[in-house]
Amino acid sequence: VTATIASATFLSELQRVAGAGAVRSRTEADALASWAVAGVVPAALVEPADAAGVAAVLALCSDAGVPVEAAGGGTWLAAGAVPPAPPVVVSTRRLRTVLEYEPADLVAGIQAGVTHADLARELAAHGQMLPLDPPARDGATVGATFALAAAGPLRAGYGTPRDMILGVEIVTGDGRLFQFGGRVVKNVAGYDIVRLATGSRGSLGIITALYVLLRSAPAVDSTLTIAAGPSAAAAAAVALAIRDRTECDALELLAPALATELGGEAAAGGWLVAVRVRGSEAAVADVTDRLVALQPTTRALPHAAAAALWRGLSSLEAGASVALRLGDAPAALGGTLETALGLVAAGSVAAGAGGAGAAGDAAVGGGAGGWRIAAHAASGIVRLWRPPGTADIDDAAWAAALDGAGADHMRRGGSLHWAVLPPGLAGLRRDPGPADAAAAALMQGIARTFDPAGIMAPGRRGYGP
Amino acid sequence: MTDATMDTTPEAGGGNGATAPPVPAASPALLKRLRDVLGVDGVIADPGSLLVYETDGLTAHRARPLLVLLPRDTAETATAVRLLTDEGIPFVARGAGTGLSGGALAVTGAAVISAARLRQVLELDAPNRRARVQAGVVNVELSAAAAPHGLYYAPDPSSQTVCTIGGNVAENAGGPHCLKYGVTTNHILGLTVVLSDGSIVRLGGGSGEDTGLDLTGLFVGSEGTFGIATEIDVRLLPLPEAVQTLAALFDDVDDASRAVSAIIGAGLLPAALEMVDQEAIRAIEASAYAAGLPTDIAAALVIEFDGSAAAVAADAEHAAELCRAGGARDVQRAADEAGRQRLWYARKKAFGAMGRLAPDVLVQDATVPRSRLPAVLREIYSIAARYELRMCNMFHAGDGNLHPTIVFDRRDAALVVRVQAASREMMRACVAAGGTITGEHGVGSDKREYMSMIFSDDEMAAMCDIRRVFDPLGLANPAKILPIHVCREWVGPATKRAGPA
Repeated sequence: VTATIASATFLSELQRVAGAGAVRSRTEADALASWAVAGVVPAALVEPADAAGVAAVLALCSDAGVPVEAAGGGTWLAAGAVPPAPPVVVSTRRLRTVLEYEPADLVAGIQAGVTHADLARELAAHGQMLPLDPPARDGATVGATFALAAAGPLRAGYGTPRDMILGVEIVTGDGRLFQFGGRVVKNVAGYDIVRLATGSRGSLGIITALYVLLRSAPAVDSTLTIAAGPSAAAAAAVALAIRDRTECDALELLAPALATELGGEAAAGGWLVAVRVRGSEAAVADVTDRLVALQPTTRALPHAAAAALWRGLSSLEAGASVALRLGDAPAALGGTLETALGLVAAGSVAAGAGGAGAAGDAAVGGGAGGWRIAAHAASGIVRLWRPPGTADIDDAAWAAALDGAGADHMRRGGSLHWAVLPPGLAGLRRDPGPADAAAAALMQGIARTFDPAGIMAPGRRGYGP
Repeated sequence: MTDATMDTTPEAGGGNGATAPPVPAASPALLKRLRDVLGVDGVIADPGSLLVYETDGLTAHRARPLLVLLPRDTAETATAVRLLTDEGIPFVARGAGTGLSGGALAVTGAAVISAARLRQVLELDAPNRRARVQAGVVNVELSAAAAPHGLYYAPDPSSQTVCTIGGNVAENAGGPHCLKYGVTTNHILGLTVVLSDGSIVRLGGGSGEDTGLDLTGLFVGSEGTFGIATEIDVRLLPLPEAVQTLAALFDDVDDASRAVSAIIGAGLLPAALEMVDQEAIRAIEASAYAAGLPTDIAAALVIEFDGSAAAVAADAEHAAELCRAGGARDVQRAADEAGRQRLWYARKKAFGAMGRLAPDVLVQDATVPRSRLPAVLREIYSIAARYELRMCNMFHAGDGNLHPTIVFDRRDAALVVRVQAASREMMRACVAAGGTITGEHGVGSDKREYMSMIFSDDEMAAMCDIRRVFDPLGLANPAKILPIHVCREWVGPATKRAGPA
């Protein structure tokens, strides 16, 4: 396969079907380095100008048996397993046209390569928004967000991409161009391939366009913080009490180091609950009153500080050297946090010297170069980020902890997903896959119907070959 | 719906002109084995008792099943399915039989597997706002079980007092409150399903984030053609603290449909935003569900807000102003819960009230972009007038989900021809406006031939390929959703398409 990709014939064929200037090969090594797939520099980068070009490229690769990695702006290529062979990366970032936007319908049809920033600007002009705040990086495309089903703190109020997608145009792994769903908000005609494509991580084909459901931008956007003290369990209880008594758009719990970094004095050195409340003036005032009654330490964050907090939180992932998520039932948040703290402690080199507990406390408390930890409290998802520079991670100790506490967590029904895992630590990967082997077999069967040659994201699908 | 005003007999293979393969008879040995598993009460085979299962909510279609099985849990369902399919007998899952697309009909003479004895709420996890239920739990019963915990199940199809969660999953059912809360699929966290080989598979439903493809999302709305969902993990929502319901009365249908866009355009998000036209109001007011609406108005919008008391009051006042500014004759506010219930009863029972007007009722289910509502409604009224049909509209205006409802008598052959022609024209008008052929009722037997209005043959073939992954033998609810010509290609010995091997 590697020989095929490197051959002049294949490259010239790629150039022919993708269009002039749409292909970069290894002769432009510098250009390809930033598109590395889990550390593997791709064999080529192809950026077709339209969906037909994407279809032609995939048909060609499928016939040749050449592996393909789908990409938007290239934000998330570092995540996931190491590909068995250098793939051809096919980016949709040149597909950046807003196809259709009728504000009265609260629906937009866009090409997959439209960036979040460009879309937000266009929607804001009409007082509307796509209520998704996935981990951010410049150039991040909407198509990739839906392909990964990526969400952020706003999931508490609006759900995840599967709740916002209405239609997709997708090129299958063997180059067929299909449209499923549509631009109406209710649609049960045929199978729901729209939701199947959402979160399929480029394993079925490449999404080239999508119709998404929008919301009106809120009149008031307020962020409230509650200092939640030094104990993770108590902080989790505070967050859950807020969830039970109020409606909010985001409910995040920040561990002390991160709380101090992003929330400053509001955290008082301990855990911090950050609540984003948006809506009409009446609705926001009502939630604020309730929060104050529930937690007298509630305070409103000035607008600029609030914006900095949410921006800071959403930019942690792209800058991290390691990032993972632990998920479990929301009511189990305290326990999930304990598991996360245990993993952090076990993976720290300091654990050998000072004992796991001390190292964990140090990291959480804001030790230099320590982990950052935050939780989507309403969804039970704990996120961990390690800033660049992983020298003080003890791979063996961490692998042991993942095999122990991490496996226990998954046995209880919890989940573990890697968002960023550098190649050097790939040995730490413990991919659980779907809990039910028969479900995994169905997924593999479905993937074969879209991609009979098995070229899409081989080895990186999360549900088997 | 449409051409489907004809009887759909097993002999006709679903009215599509296809010759369905003959279904093997149920041998005495098979019946005994089924009774051993399901109990004597769990197997219905005598022709008189099977009559009940000849039709669903779309009474124009009829097909008598081979037999009806009533398992009590997932294991019994799996065993029953395997016993059937070992002998090549197809099966059709059935909830309460309230569907409006002929989806639960045994059109090929299949066995029906009923959810009538799958009635348990297995687990109600209030702290995590989720529940696991058997497929036959009735929609309102789930909300009733959740109510003591301050929770409810949001999707509320009009048939919710009888329809089952399993049926809702099969159809991806909607309802008036989908505008704010989404349809069934937005509330399903996981499924336990039985496939046609009798295997039991868990899809999604973990307490953390699911891994891999969203098979739960794919299965919801597959109308029983992948297998049978026997246990369902649902999301529950906190009961809203306050609710306010308005009835805005309009002298002009156009004004009413423009008010819909004005409300949404102002950034308001009602829990529900429904329209009922004059013909429907008259039928309701002449029925036991009279809500006291004036019968001389052209249309009423039923607008509901929920949330905190302060927000609801402000939003309702804003919406009322927009309606008055948009030409509403009057905006009434339900003074109390009884008044609110009367309005909703009127809306949800309107379909039944129409049934009093003539022997047969035909309801369509197209969805159009909200901004196209005024134009599409005008066209639909004009089509009905041109064919001299009696039609009313009561529908989910906020979602653009239309339900033109035509009353007729199918013994009048000439009338049936006009009904069919008008239906087809209405569907075309909706598709031309950027809409789709079904918003919440499903394709079933009824709209199969409309699928090619919105999908290419290759797209439908891709759906066939997916179906074959779940059901290689084609025994799970055959002859539904996909048009016959596509499935012929699918079961054919070879295709020229670059499809799967």
